[in-house]
Amino acid sequence: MRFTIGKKINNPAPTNAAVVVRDLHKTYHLGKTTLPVLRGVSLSVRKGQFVAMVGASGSGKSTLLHLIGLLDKPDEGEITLDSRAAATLSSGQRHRMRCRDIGFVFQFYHLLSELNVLENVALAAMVDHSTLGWLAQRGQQRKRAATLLDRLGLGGRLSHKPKELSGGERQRVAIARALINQPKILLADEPTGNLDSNTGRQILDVLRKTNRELGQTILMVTHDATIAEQADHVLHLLDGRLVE
Amino acid sequence: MYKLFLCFRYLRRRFAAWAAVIAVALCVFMLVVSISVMDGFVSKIEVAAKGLYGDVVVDGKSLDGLPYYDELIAEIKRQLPDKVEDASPFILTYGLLEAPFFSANSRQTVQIAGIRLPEHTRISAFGQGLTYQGDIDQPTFDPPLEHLLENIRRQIHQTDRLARDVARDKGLYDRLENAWKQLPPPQRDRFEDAWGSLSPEQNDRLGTVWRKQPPEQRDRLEGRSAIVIYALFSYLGSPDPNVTIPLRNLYTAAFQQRDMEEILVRAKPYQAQMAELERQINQAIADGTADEPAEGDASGNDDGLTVKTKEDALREQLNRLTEMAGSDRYAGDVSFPFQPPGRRAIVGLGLPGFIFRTEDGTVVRMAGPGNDIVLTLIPFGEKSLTGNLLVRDVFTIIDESRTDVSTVDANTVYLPFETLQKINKMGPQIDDETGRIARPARTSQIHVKVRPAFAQARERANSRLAVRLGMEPRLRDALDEVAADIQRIGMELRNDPRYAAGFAGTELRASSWRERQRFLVGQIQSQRTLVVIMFAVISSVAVVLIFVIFYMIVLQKTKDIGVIKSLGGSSMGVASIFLGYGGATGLIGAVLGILGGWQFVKHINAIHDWVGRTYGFHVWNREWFMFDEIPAQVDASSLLSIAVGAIIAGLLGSLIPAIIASHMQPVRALRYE
Repeated sequence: MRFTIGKKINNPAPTNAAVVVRDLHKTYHLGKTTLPVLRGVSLSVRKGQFVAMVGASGSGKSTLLHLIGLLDKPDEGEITLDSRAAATLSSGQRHRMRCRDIGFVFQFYHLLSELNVLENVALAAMVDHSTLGWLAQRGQQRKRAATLLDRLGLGGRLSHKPKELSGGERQRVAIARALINQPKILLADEPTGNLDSNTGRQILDVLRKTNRELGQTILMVTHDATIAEQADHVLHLLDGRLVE
Repeated sequence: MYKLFLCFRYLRRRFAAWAAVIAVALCVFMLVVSISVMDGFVSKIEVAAKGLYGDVVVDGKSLDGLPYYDELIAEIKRQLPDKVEDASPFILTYGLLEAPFFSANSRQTVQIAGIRLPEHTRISAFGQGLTYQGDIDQPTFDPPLEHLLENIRRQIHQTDRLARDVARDKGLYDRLENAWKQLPPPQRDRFEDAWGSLSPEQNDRLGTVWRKQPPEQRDRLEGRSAIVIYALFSYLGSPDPNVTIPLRNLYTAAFQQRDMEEILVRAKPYQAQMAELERQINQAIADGTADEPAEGDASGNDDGLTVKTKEDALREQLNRLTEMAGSDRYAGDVSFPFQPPGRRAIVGLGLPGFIFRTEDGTVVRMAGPGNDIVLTLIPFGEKSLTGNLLVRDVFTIIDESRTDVSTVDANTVYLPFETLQKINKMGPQIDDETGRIARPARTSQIHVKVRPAFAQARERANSRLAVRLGMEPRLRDALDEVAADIQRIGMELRNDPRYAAGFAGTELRASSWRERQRFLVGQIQSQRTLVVIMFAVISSVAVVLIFVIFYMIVLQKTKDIGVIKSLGGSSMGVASIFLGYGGATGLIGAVLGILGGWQFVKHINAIHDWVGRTYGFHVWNREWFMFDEIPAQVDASSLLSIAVGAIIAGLLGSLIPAIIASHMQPVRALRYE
């Protein structure tokens, strides 16, 4: 693992790299005010690594995660995911990649209140299927979602609505939703930020277990140093730059 | 799949969307009802307009008329046996109608139609619209008296029952009360006297009726409307048609507040007659045979109430009443025997004063068979209209006709063709010197009935898909084709040396009834289009409502949109969710609105009557229309168009919110507070 901080990487991405970021810049414009959030971030994450990113609020952690997750586009710089340069992807390819190769876990879970636990998880699988394709595989996919939820200790909560769950349970549903399509990269934005320390630890255990058992590459944003210590590596972001 | 799934899930769970569904349903409901009623109206007018004329009408383009009509009819039938079923001459002119049984001053202008019966009933629906002969195949101006009596009896008995309802009619009481107030005080006093001279039995009977009236009605009447009570008593006092006819006339006169002096004079002898009938009625009640005048009871059972033998008894009664209520101008209200067949008339059911309609659509007749009318007309068939040409004659009403076109029914008297031809100076004119026909008999028009099989076959041929798509040429409309054929035949006849002299100076024009009634039907159709456009514009409010509701939903669901995009949902996918949502809103609204509208239209008259009874609120004033019921016709293609329109409205309303949703940046959406 090699981190290059604030410096452009000219070498091609290593073949075992899941994520390679080169000289990433992102500035937000709020009216007449410009707010530079990332100021030349470069990093490389190997496949199967569990990396934590820490930094103060506003340091650009979430923005970096969103850019890596193809939810936003950088002003400058390159992102390579699984040896594919994000800039060269068409809109459809970006959607497909978000659906199949990337899983998101958010601090506030972002579960759909109209759907129950099983449907929230299955929704991610539905996105990858046409109507006919889904109808053909509906049973199989729902079974897979139920199995996944069972593994996360939610086997008895499948038909519950998000509002009937605790914070930890909701986050586990969100993790299940992120994992249902077996993505190569799991991006977790403060997954424990809204939970008490005990529940947070349980969530972290889930992520670690996932990383270990499924070999998923995990990038986790947190502001909690003790949580970050659980990761294989910790990156520090300060004012839009990675620091040692 | 997620688009469909979320679309229906949102639809089930978002109450705001149901507000949009209800808005669409209400608009669809409104359109279904208004279009159905207007379609019903147009259809009724079309049927009625055709009912007045034949399928094709031939005329001479002038009041002078068309000669050799029988020859032309024969030629039409000979040359077009597969296309034409029958044809009949028809004279149309104008005149003055006097109804002496109302008052000497009752005059109105009318159009006078000369028709051949029963021939004319084979050309149009005229026969079915006859009140007293509608149930027989061959109506004439000289129906069997027995048949006529039965129908009159039935009608009058029904009228008596209706009169009881009329007694509860607030609008009628208002009018009568106003009439009473407008009377000069001396006349009111005279009525009060007449009222006071009723026999004790009559008073008792009236008292019974009086007590049955709702209290508010009694309050309204108390001490003021003796005229109303008297008229009411006239109705309620006798179920016997022989008495009811003149009493009804009396009632009419009272109702119209004309010739009060005369009414008083006439009223006196009836009181005695009524007293006698009271006695008979009481006797019949005691025998248990009073309530219903025995229909078809021609055996003449001598129970003192029903007729001995109908004809004899009617003759006897009418003659007596004629004497009692004699007028110095005519033989009496009811002439019996009737005028000879050539002097009989059929009156339009709607002539002012002859009938009136209560708010609930009940037709109350003021005149009927047996009453005489006087017609005065200028014989337009005369070549030279100089000197004192006015023709004036008495006719006995034998039946009443209803075409459902109020302008026709309120304005038309039908006479035998040959009679009108003669008095309109359209009969053959003989040269005094040579003794030969100097001018052949003429008619105003010839009405032609096209064979239904031919018309239907042509319609079927034109409704084929290939024709509709323009792949095959559209065949000429059956009626237009027959009209052109007749025009050709007419011109051949006109140019025939045998007839050329008679046709000299006469034009000939054949056209379909649609062409003739283009103005009438076209106006209603234009109104229908206008109403539909107006309601469609009003319905566009639903689009705005859907837009507002969906905009709110999109804002509420901003985070969901962010999540869907983070899960790989495309912008188009997100847009489809909300477009599908809007389309489904339109579809469900359309289904609910159509079902509701259909049921409403199906029961529109019952609902209207219920609202009228419960709240006294009448939208459809039956006094203005000649339709018993609010016409309504649900058309499948209209419903389909409305449903498609509702779905499009749903899609349009949700289009901008869907675009907004699709353009949302996932990062911003996820951070939306």
